[in-house]
Amino acid sequence: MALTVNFSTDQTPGTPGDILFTDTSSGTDVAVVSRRIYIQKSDGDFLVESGTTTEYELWADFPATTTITLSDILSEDCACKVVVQWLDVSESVLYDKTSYIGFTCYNEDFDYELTQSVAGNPLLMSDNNFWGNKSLLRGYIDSGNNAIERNSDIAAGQQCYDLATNLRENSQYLFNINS
Amino acid sequence: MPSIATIISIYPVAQYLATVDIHKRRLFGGGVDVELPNKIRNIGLSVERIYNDNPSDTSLTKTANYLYALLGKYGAQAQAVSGIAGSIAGVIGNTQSPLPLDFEVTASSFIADGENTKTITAFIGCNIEFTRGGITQNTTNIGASYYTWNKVTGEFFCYPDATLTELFRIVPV
Repeated sequence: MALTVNFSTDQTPGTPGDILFTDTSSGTDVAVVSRRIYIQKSDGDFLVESGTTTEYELWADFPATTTITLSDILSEDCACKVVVQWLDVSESVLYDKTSYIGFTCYNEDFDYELTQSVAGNPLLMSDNNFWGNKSLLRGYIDSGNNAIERNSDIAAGQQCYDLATNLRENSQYLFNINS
Repeated sequence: MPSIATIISIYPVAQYLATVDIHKRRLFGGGVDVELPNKIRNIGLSVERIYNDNPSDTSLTKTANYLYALLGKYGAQAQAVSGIAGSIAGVIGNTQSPLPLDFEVTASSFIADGENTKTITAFIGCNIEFTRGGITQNTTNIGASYYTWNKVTGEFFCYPDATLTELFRIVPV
């Protein structure tokens, strides 16, 4: 059966800088031996792990190795164009797959921290600063996700994520968490 | 308190129930926080994300319980709507109780003069109270008047035999 390429990504709460890639391809093609991962931000830069000199990460040993974790590749939430290429021994591209993905673990983790804060101090919910800004945070994350999922618009998605990141980075002024 | 999994599954239902209820209440949500549906979704999404990643996360007990408290009455309604809670038993329809038998013993009465037994099919399944001449009768035989009743077969027996002009009242209970 011919190879039908595909992949998925995942982030784990608590480790927002990491991305787990899983090869979900079906079928076989003995010519394919490795993969490359390109993660491009909306400003055109490529995200790679520290020490990587290329614009891509190598994902070797196809088909035996189905997952790879890229560690500390993100420093904030990013809307990205992700391209995975399936290569033969001479590194010619035989297949490729492109996805537009929002990596939102930083701000989602922060949102859950706020939920923990209000669970410990329910009166916070009556604080206009807290609720108003938590609501904005959720709205920015959702808007960014919609921009990417509905229209593959990583530029707009990144703007929304940046607004959420701004709330997170200035949380001491915006959420009255110490009250 | 429902389980964390239950709380996660009902909060979206509670959100729409709250939305509809607040809308029906018109001005200022009739005193209900008009932001409640947004708050439910906001808190619910963040709790659900952690639950989906690691259901045994120790922080979930506190945050999920807070979410359930936030749902308030809409949480209870959502459980009922979702069919994952007990519900209040419905009112059993009124079944017409058979009417008491109240008569004077005559030669042709329900229990006629000289008779002491009768099958009362209408009272099958019921217990009965038997009053004879205005005096409540017992089922215990201590040598005076008494009666027996078999609620399965409907067989009624009284001692002594019915006599003319006696007043009998047999009431199903």
